[in-house]
Amino acid sequence: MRKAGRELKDELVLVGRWATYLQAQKLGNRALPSLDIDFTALKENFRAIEKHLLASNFVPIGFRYIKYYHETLDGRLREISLEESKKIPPHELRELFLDILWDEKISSMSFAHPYVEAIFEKELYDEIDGINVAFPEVILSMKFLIEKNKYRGQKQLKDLVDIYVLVLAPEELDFEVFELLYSREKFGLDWVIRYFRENEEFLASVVHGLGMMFDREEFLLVVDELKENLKR
Amino acid sequence: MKAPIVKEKILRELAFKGSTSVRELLAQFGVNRPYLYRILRSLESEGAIVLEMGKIRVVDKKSLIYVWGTEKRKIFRVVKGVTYKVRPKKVRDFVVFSGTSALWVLGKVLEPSFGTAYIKKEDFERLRQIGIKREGYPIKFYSYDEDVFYYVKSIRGYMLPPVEQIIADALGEGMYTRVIEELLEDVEWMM
Repeated sequence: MRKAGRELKDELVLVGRWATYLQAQKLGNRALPSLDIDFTALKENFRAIEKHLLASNFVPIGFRYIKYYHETLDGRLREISLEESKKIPPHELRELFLDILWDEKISSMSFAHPYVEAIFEKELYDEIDGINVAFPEVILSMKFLIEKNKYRGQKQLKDLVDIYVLVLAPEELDFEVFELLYSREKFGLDWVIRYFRENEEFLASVVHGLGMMFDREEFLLVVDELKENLKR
Repeated sequence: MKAPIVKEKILRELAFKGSTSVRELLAQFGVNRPYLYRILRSLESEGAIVLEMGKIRVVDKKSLIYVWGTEKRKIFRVVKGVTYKVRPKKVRDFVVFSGTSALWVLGKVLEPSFGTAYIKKEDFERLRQIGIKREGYPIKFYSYDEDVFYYVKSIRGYMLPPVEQIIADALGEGMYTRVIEELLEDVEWMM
C-alpha cells in the first residue's frame, strides 16, 4: 500500500479502512487495520496507474488488482507471479487486493464514485507518511454513502467502528467538506444512528479494545449536528 | 446529620498511603485525639488496619474502602451536589471524574450518567454555562472537597483520582456491581 501510494502519489488518494487507520493514527487514535487497499483516481490517469501496477506485479482481475504472495513455513511472504500462484497450495497462498474507485467508469467492471472528482479538484486529502490520504470527512461521507440502506454483515460492523473512530477524533470535523460532498451525492445518516443504537454494546467492546472511550452521547450529538447542517 | 468530611480525608490518607502514624494524622487534619482514636479503633475492629504504638498499617484495603464507601453515602446524603447534563469532553479540563463517571472513562461501564465529579468553586460558572445547553449525560458535581485535585492522574484526557477514591465514590452513589467487586480484587492484589 505504502509503495503504490508513494510512487503514484499524484495519481492516487487512499480511502477506506487504511485511510481511516492512518488518519486515526495521525490524531493519536487507533483503528482497525484492513486486508484490502482502496484508492481513488481520475480516469485520465488510468494508463499511467495501470502501467505502474502491472510493473509492480499486480494482476488486474475483474474490477480489482491482486498481488500474490507465497507464505513460507517461517511466516515470511514472498511475492510471486500469477503463474507461480497456480502451483502453490491454497493454504500457502496470500492475496493482496487493491481496489480503485474512479471518477468515471473505465470499463463495465470498474466502479465510479461521485466524490472522486471533488477529492482531486478540491484537494481533500492530507499527506501522511508520503501517501495522499483522504480527509476524515471524505472517508466518512463515502462510508455514509456506501452503507445507505444496505446490510453488509461483518463488513458493516467494521465500517461502524471506522465511523465511530473518525466522528470522535480529537479534531473538530469540517462540516463544509461534508456539505460539498453532499451536494454531489446525498448520503443518509438515519441508518447510522439506527445501526449505532442496535450495535452499541458490540461497538463499545471494540473501541475499548482499541484503547478508546465509548461516548454514546458525543457520537450521537456530532451526527445530529451534521444532520442539522446538511438540512440548511 | 453532619457530613463526615474529615473522616473521609483520614480514610483517603490511609487508603493512599498504606501506613502512617497517629501523630502525622493529628498534625495533618487538626482533629482531636479521642475523635481520631474512635475512627482508628473502629477500623481496627473491621480488620482494615493494625494500630500499634501509634503506628498505623492498612492490612485489608478492601474493608477500608467499604468503610469509606459507607461514609461517602452519608456525605452524599448531606452534601447535595449539583446535577448538570454535560458533554464530558467539554468539562474534562476542569473537573475530576470519579465514581461511575470515572468507571466510564476506564471502560468499565457504558455511560457516565449519575456519576460523581469534583469541581473547584471558582469553576462553577464555567460549568453552568456548559450545563445550560443540556447536552450529554447527567453528572453530579461536588465542590466540597478540592483535595481530590491533589491526587489526580490524566487518563485518556480526563482527570481521575486513584482507584480507591473511584470505588468509594461509586459505593457512595449506591453502585454495588460486579465491576466494583473486580476493582476491589485488583486493589487487594496490588497491596
